[in-house]
Amino acid sequence: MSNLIKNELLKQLLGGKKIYIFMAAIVFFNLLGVFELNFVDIEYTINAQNYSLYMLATVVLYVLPFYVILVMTDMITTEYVQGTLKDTLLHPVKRSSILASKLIALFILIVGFITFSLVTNYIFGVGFWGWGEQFVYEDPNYATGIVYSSTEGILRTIGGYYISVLPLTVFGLIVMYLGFLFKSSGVTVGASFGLFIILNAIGGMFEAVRPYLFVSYFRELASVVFFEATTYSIYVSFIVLGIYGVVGFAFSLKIFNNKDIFY
Amino acid sequence: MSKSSTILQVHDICRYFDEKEVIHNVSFQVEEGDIFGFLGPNGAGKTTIIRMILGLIKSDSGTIKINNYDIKSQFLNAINKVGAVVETPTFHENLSGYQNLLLIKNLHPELPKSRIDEVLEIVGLTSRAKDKVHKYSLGMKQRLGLARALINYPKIVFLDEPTNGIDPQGVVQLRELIVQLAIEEKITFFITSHILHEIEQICNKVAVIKGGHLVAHGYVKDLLSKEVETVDIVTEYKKDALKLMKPLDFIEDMVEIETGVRVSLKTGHSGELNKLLNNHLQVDYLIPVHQSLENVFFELTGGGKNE
Repeated sequence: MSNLIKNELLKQLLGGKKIYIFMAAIVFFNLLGVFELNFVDIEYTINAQNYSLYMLATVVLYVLPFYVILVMTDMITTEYVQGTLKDTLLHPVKRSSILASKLIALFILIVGFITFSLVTNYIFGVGFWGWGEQFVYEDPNYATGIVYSSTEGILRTIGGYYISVLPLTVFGLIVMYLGFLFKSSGVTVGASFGLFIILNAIGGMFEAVRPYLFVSYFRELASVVFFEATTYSIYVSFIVLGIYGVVGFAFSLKIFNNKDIFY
Repeated sequence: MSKSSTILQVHDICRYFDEKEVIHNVSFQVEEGDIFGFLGPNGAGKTTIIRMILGLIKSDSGTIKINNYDIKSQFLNAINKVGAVVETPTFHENLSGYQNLLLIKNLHPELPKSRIDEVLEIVGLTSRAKDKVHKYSLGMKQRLGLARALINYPKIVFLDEPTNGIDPQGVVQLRELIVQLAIEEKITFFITSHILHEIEQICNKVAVIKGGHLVAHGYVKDLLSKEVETVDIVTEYKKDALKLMKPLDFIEDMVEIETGVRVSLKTGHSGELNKLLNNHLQVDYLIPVHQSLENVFFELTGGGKNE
């Protein structure tokens, strides 16, 4: 299994420019945050300590979902159509191991991006506002924000960043399933993007269903676990994401196991 | 496990697509050390059968065993000592030849990294190993495909149209390489090719498939020594010739060709045919056709077309 994961990472790291383009996108969006904050009046202090947390939603909502869509489409539909999936299947490897390795590789790549974003945001924070004296969390229930100690604020920020990997990986599983349904990478990307937009729109319109949509947790899981337990309880969050994950993997495996490889 | 020398056993396999039977009760076997030619017109089902053998396409019935392991129930053991190039070899184009082989080596943790250099050396790609595959010619990709098929010390290698895109000199080199590997490394080869002359030169056994049916299977020498001879009747009056020969019981088969009619007849009757034709028809020439695999193939497949 570890060699399969190594292969997937090798393909992504050396096989294209996608990873570098998304790193550039993260830098761009994080700088955009700096620009935005210079023109917006806020009631509390922004500094290096809380800038990373402020920017988390941007990265997990506007950058990484698209990376997940493109990478998983590459791993499934593109590999199937180009015939390179077949090359792996001609060796003593279980199809379930191939799927699991792709998922774990995606998880590792997201962790890498999350780490990159976290570090760049701290660097930008220090560069533009300095380290600061306290960590102020922008809680919507308190206009002036909540103050945490620096250590506690940093630990909660780090936790918030890394917990966000979970819903993004679950999204990867959904894209994986879609990837097996279509014979065109463009269609898989389109369908995944469409699903992402529609579910976000549904979540926006109907607050009651929001806790049951995995897309809600891209942004909310960090808050639920590390900052505020609102309507999304921790248990519900993990159960919902767990169900999406298990069902997504089971459906993907079933379709893959029965799939004839024609390319 | 029994000590059999049969390395590939295909028994009664069938496959339907959209309720249409495309592979019909195909059975054959390949012994260790064979260089086995698998022939058939385009669309006959060759690639489908190769994919079924390799577990890429599932059979609806029948059994396939590689090295005595069932491809369905014992896939990991069955596929372990198999190498294959199915259709045009595909690669991760933005990775180098070496990196592409590394991806496959990683699927066999027992192999040392030096095996990559060995197979690159065998196919003559050492000097281009670090180049990205998108810079390779089709011939180089075929050779890289062969290197990939050899990396796990296979007992049997499947090559689907291996000479596609290779220049004539490369074809000769590949043919020599296959024979050399078969002799020195004791590798069994299963080869499809539309160049029948090549198959005849290197294969000891062949199977011919047409419209999903196996129409012949056996040693090349046995197929070529059939008790039938072939004669080309060069004449403008094709229809008259066909009409004249139709009642003759020593005629096995007749096919119109561009210059006249090609006739397969029981050995020893060519003089009789000659006399008959000369008495009733204007014939320019009677040309005996050397019995080659190509002729056998055309006889078996009705001109290389699927029904």
